Amino acid sequence: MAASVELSSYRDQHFKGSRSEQERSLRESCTLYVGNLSFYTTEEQIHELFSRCGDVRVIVMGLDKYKKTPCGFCFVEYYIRSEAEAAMRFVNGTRLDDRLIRVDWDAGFIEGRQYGRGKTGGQVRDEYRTDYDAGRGGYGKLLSQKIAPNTDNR
Amino acid sequence: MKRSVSLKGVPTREPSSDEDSDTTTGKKPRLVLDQDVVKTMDTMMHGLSYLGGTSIELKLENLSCFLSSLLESHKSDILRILENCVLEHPGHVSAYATFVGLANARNFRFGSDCLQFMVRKLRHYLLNGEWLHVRVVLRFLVDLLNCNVVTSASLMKLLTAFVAECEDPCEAGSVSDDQSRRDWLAFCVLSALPFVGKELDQKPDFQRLLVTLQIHVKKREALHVPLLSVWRDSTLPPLLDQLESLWHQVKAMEEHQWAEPDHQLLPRPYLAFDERLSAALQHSLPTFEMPPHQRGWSYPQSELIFRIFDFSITSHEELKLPPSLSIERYLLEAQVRHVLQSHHLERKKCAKHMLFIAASKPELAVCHSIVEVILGEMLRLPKAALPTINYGSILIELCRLQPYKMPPIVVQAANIIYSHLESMNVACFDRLVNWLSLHLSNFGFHWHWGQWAHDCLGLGYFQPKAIFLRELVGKCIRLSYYRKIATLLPPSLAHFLPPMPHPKFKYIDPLISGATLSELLLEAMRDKRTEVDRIHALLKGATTTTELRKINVFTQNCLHLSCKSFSHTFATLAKYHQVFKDLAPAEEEQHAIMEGIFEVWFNNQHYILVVIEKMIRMEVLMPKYVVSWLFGPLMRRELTKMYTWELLHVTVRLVQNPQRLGPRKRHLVKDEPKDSALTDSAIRGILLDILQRIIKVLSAESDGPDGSVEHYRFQWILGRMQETLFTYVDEYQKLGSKLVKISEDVDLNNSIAKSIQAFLVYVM
Repeated sequence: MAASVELSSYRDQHFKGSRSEQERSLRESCTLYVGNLSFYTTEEQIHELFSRCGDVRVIVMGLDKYKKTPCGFCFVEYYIRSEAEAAMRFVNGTRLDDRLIRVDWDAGFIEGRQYGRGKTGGQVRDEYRTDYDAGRGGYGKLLSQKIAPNTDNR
Repeated sequence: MKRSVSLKGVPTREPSSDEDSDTTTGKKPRLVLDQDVVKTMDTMMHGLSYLGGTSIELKLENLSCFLSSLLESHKSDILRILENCVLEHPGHVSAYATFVGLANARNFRFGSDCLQFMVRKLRHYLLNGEWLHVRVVLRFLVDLLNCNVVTSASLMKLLTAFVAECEDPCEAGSVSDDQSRRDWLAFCVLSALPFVGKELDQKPDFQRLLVTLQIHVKKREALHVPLLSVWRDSTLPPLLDQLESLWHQVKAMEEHQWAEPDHQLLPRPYLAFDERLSAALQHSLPTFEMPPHQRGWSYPQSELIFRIFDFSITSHEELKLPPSLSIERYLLEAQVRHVLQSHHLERKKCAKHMLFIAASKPELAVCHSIVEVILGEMLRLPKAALPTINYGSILIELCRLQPYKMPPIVVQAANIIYSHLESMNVACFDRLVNWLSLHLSNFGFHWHWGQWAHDCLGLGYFQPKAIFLRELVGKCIRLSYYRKIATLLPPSLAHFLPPMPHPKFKYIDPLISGATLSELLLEAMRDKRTEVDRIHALLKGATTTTELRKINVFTQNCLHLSCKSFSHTFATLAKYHQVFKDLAPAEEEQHAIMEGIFEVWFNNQHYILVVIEKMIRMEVLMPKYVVSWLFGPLMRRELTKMYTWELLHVTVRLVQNPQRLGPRKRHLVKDEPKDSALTDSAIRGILLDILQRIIKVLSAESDGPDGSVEHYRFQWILGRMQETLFTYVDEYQKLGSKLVKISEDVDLNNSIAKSIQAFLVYVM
């Protein structure tokens, strides 16, 4: 069983720097990526949950690039590594708003990263999903475009 | 045993498929090979503590085969790993002792070196005050008697050395009038006796050892028991002091001729190797002298045993817990506690190992014991060893792994605690609320709310159950949202719902004083092109408004405009940082800011807490003024609510960590205090101030007759005072002489004085 504070296999492809630099930043970071949130989950809820592991320095909510509404992820930064580790250990894989949330190391927030990277503005994973997820806008974006009624009356 | 199966089933961290080819080709340098060997040793030795997979006997057989040719060449590695294993897995020392027994049977010198090494380590831990390690190593050495490695005479000498001070505290030369040292040494010996009582029973000096322990237990004063009790109700079974309880349990074993405890609760893996072990030669333990007490050493206090399931044993349950005072109960709890100690950081592993114990004792209510031990550790006084969420996350994991077995037990435990809330120590209260709210959040907030509602009909506002339900509902809302919880609660609990958590902006009313200025400012603040200087100018220009009114108007405006989320609020506060700093240089003005926050977010405690915390971090509000505001006239009626105490603790934390103040600097990883001497004096200053203010608030209240509103309020705040003392126990200990002076004040209310004195007896 891998220790729960180990780095996961995910690597941000937009990281500026080499793979080893990226891994070093991840190992020293006090910032976490939190995923699989409901679009309706608020910053206040995240603050309440993550404060139980330590003093939260800042929360950056992930937003839809165009609509500027929450799109299901955020970054949580602590003051010290050990408190971020506590969140990896005790919060990762537990529920918030009835959803199992994912907590993973992040190399540190940079302006611009708060926006979804999908074509339609949200997270990429919400483009291709084929399941119905009420907490994340129903069906995936591509699928819902296909099944949406044609409103073009020309 | 056939060699061919020897490595099967041993958990190895990495596949060693290419290892063989390396050895045959011999291309890799020897160093690398050596590393592989050491790694395998490490994996296999740690594997002895893994409860799943192959049997412990097979694991031991495999390990001793593997190491048979390495005992000499890799002695130092083996001993180093052995030490780590014993310390990391205190619940498995018997297995490690068996391993040493087998090694000793093969290689007499290894046995001797191992004893030298371990006794040296024991001394090292004693000299360095690592008391928990001392106990584990002693337990290990004791089990070596069962594995035929040490002679009983030399072991008796070691045990006698441990309790020498208990025999005659003054003569032993360790001038510690500190009972806790003797308690700890006695506890180390007592907790090892169940394993060797039978072996030692007929040996000379053993009776004397027991008498010494008996005298110590009888003579000592367990003054901390009432102070550290989770329950204050005299009708409940009293919380037992662990040392005293263990003495009775061991004594009972002796009276029954050390009959083996039921349910195989004493793991004895060496029995399977009896033949081989008894053929080995024994060693005398190296001579050992107990290092005397040194100034400044502090020892673990004898703990109180938390029990809830004994309150109401229902007869229809199939599985039973061993009786409260039986050695079986102690041994079962010790096993659960060891798992918690070894694996608490990995909640999944921890839950799995706990359930292994349950699976191995199907005739016992092990799951009840698990829940009882975890909750007991979580509610421990003066404080828990781990954060509340750590215990909670393990309970969640247990419920997930055993969805039919565990949740009903958690419900049963919560019900028992809920029904005794009236007598629960207030110092445990926040932990209970935080745990249960998060637990509920993980299970869709499904709860037998209706039943709890039925229990609390006609409760007064300040009765502990009512306070608990209000705070629990509040915390559930914080983890979820208002409407969700509101629809979940039965109508009978509706009055425990707080008002809708919306902001209230009073300057919407144009008739109240300050409304004109507010409007002027709002207009300017809404316009993105407005410079901050303009706001300064507008505030300065309002000559007819008092300074305090201006602060109120400005604060309320900021919060009103940015009420959408914490981020919006923080951004606005950051934008007007300088305006706030200029407006509020001193106490009165800073109180006015907090009053403004309080008015806007009166219905949302979370915002009050977070916004004030943010403004302390921004160095707009000074911690000492936050404290004086919290205990000021406005907040007096809020003191029975949890968020005021959350805010108090956040404030103290920020004094303790001054590097968390100030503007946000990137790449600040190290969390070392700027100037520790300065920080220390600041902490002592604020803690003394807090205590004096709580006393002042309490002195202004009057403790009414039992059951009256005044009584509940007074007792609640008194409990909060105790909580504060407990939370900062080390710091308040340093303030001992000041506390003595405070408690001796003739005008001081008797209950307050008693509470402080009880604390002083505990820490001094």
